[in-house]
Amino acid sequence: MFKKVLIAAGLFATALAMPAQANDKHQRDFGDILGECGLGAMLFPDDRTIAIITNITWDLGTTAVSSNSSSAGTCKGGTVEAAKLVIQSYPELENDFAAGEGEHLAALMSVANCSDSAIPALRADFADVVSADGYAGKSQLDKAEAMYGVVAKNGACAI
Amino acid sequence: MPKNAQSFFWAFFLFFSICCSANAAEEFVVESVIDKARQLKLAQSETWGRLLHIEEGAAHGTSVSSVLDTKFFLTADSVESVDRERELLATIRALFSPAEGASNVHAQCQYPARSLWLLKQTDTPSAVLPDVDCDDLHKWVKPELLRSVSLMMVTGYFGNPASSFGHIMLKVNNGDSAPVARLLDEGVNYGAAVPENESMLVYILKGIFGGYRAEFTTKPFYNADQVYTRTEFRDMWEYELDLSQYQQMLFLYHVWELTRTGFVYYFADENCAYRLAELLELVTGYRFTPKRQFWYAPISVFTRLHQLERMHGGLIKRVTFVPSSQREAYSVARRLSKEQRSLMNTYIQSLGESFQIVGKELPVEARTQLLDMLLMYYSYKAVGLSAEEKGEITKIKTNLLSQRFELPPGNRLPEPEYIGLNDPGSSPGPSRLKVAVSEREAQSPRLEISYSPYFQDLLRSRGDGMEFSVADFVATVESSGRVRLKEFTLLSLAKAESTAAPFIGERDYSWRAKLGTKENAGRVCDFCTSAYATAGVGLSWQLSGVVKAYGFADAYMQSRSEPYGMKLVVGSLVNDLWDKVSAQLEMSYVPRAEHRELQGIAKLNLLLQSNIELTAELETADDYRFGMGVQYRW
Repeated sequence: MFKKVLIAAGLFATALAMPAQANDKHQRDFGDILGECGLGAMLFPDDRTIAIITNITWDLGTTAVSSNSSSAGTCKGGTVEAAKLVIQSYPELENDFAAGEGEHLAALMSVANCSDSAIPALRADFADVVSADGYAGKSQLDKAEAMYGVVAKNGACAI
Repeated sequence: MPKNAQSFFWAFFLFFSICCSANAAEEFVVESVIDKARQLKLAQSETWGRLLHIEEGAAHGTSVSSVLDTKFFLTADSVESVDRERELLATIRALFSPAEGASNVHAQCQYPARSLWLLKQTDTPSAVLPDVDCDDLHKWVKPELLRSVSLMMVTGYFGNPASSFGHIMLKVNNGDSAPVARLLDEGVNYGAAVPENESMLVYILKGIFGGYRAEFTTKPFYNADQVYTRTEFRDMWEYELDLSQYQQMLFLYHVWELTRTGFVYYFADENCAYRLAELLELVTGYRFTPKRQFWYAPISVFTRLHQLERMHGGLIKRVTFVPSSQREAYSVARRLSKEQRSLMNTYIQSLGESFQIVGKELPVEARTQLLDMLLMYYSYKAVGLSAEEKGEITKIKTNLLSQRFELPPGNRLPEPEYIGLNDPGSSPGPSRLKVAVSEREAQSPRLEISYSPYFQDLLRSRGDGMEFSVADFVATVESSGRVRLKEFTLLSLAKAESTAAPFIGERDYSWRAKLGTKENAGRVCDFCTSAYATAGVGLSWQLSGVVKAYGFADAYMQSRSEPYGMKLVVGSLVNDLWDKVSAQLEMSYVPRAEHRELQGIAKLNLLLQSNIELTAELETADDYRFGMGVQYRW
């Protein structure tokens, strides 16, 4: 639990700094998903920042799409599943992107509706993300957001 | 009803609904189904009782249910007064009620298991039910994608008292059977809702005495995989069940029904294993939960599954081992070439100056393997570290990632091998009752009776080198009929798995601890009892698939004479040779002030049947003791 609190504290600033984005349900970013779904959204429907923090603190965002929750219908489906998988399995996905294969990458391809042909471009784009200055110092949420962005902008994926 | 009569009945219904009013037709069907249910006495059937979670021993009239919420029922005002017949009739009427209002609220959506079972029992085609929108239900249970249902046995975890005995959860396998798809399967967990920051004492007390509400929750399986195998480093065993489509649907539909309610959680008996076992009872009809027992461990579900599989078949499709990330990293690293291992450890050791080109002298494939291995190592190594330590590892890992991206894609790491691990459910059950005849030098033979509700010594460790026994009593009966408590072990823990880690600077020490009382026959005083505690650390080696060697330095404290001391121990274990024979040989050196002493223990277990073992034991110190007996496990 102490570890979770530390992580949550580390991510707190990022969560606060997240700008309110345009509400395109097909191309929502991390902030939208964490702010509009899950336990956070249920408890604090009118306060997006508190909702994000609640979702991060409570199991690193996994409640954002817990089954049978009363999240809105837009909080289900590929977009949110992909975001959730990226947050939850980031260290394994990093390794799989580097190898260009692996069970976590295959799972992400599946929930993000990517064709196999997407992998070379995803690998190359994520290599750019990793080689950019300051990558190592980023929070895991920032890194996950960058990885999610790589997948979201790929034309062979559909989230 | 004969098939011809059934066809005539439904043809008549069709005619009736076309020519007469819809309401009259529906009423006709409802009354027909109710008549049938009454004729078959479904309200009194065992399955209906299981669907309502009626507690055993309750009369067939008004009954007590173990669920916590009256909203689980259509008619009950209290879970302590559920009228089975009234609830059955109300369910039938609700299932046939017109589909009006919001989706997902109709009885067909709320009670799919009751619906499935009732239609089957009364030979009613599902097509006669009103069309309703159960969108939420069908998002979770997808008959067109459902492949199978698995029970996952998560091995014990000493980091949390409630997890010491292991855990059991459900995995709903959708889509194709490729191993890569398992992460997206649906995981179903049953657990207590424990408030954040609950103190350990309160947690234990409430867990034992029923202070928590427990519920079924569903999340994609990668959540459980992340927590159990990649954070707590616990292995899992997947038991894919061999159920019919009807059984699978009944199973999952009833889980769906239960997600709307909860139960009181009791750590010892009405726990995760108990609730999953109830579901198995519902769909298989076989008994899993104990009738009179105040504990129920997860392993008991799997030993019972194996027992039923041997007797009747058709329950277990396959058993698959799911290693912890630590075990996987160890196994893969051991299979690298000597040169690769040497380069890997040089890199790990030179932590401060690690931004070097890794394995630049190696061919591309070998270098790729080395980089993938190091990435695997640092991922597992980062778990549980402080933010500062993690920061260092993140820098190293980022550098390794950059190097890896420059090489061609493709994971060419060797396949891991897991030697000497056996399916835990295939062993006899965790409880034991042993009857033995024992003889001590210069004394007449005595009868020994041993009992423990949970006994797993190193002989029965199924290759994972874990010992965990609770409340083990050994009593002796003399020829005069006098009964003495020879030994009582309150708790015995050991971890004696191979400690030879392939990564430099890392040694997973073996350890063991024991707490109890024992009789000091003759040496300190005549048949006096002393309390004792021992604890030790050591090393273990896996010599072959079934043979281990170990060494410990044990410290001990006891209540009579020599209040403390230490001993050095070496031993060897053979586990499940030919699936039948286990043996242990242990020698101890005790450097006492007055005289040094060598002690020896030799144990042999021979599995005669699935739950009966022949045991032999020889102890030597100042004198000797030999015992031979039969042990029943369940």
